[in-house]
Amino acid sequence: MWKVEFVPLILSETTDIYAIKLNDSVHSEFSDFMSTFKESTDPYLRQDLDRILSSIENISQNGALENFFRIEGHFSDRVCAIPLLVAHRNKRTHGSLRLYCIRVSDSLLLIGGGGVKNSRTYNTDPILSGKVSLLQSIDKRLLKLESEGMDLYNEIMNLTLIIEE
Amino acid sequence: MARVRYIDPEFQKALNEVSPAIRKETSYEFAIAKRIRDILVKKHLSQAMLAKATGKKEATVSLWLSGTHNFTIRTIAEIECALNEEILSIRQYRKPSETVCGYISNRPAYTGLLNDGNE
Repeated sequence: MWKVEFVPLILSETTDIYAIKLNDSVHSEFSDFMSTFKESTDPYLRQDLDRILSSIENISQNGALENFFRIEGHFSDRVCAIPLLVAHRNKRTHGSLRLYCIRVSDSLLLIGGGGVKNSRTYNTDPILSGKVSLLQSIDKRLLKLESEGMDLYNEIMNLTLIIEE
Repeated sequence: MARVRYIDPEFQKALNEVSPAIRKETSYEFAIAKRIRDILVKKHLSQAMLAKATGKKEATVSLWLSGTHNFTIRTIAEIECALNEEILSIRQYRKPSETVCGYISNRPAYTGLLNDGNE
């Protein structure tokens, strides 16, 4: 069972970006992601992290526009990956970073966790597929709340979800 | 630039440690992508139409709009011509005035006149 909360990461005129926090943890999933790869010995992964951080900054300025994101989940959900220009590398020895999120709208983005993508698709990686699966469960609950009339943009900061595993 | 009302201090710290060149490069890529997208919306054009107009694949146009594409000047020129809109403009920097004894002017001949022929 997951207790899910949303903590503000960047709030701007254009877009509000929240990080997802699980089970009363001190750190959000995104904070753990940053800590893990900031100290990586792989220079490609450190560069990927820098580009992901810059992308998030630019999304807050330009909007969480649909064309900025890679669709990662199913067509029925809003799970996607933060855009990343992957520097040329030997893919057999160096994976690339993936950070997953829920793009609710042009003005609301919820960032989850991620990891190193060494396989062609995330489903074959237990860590990445776990991250995506959790976001899909969260998104399913959010869609239900929206269909019941909740204004997520204004309510997300005070929202706590309980997601069954 | 959109005004930021709040930014998480840990994220701000991490962002400050990103190389300025990467931050600037990313900001250009996103700004160009958004500009192209805004033009498409304004002119009611689809990505497929832009692809056809530029002779590229739709996947290429999708990449242009992703905010992660490292454009060549040639590509930007092709897109500008296809859309008949400016995407990039270069600011003109004026040459600083030459400093001379006495009166100062950015026109050497005028400087001479002001200084009675002594430049």
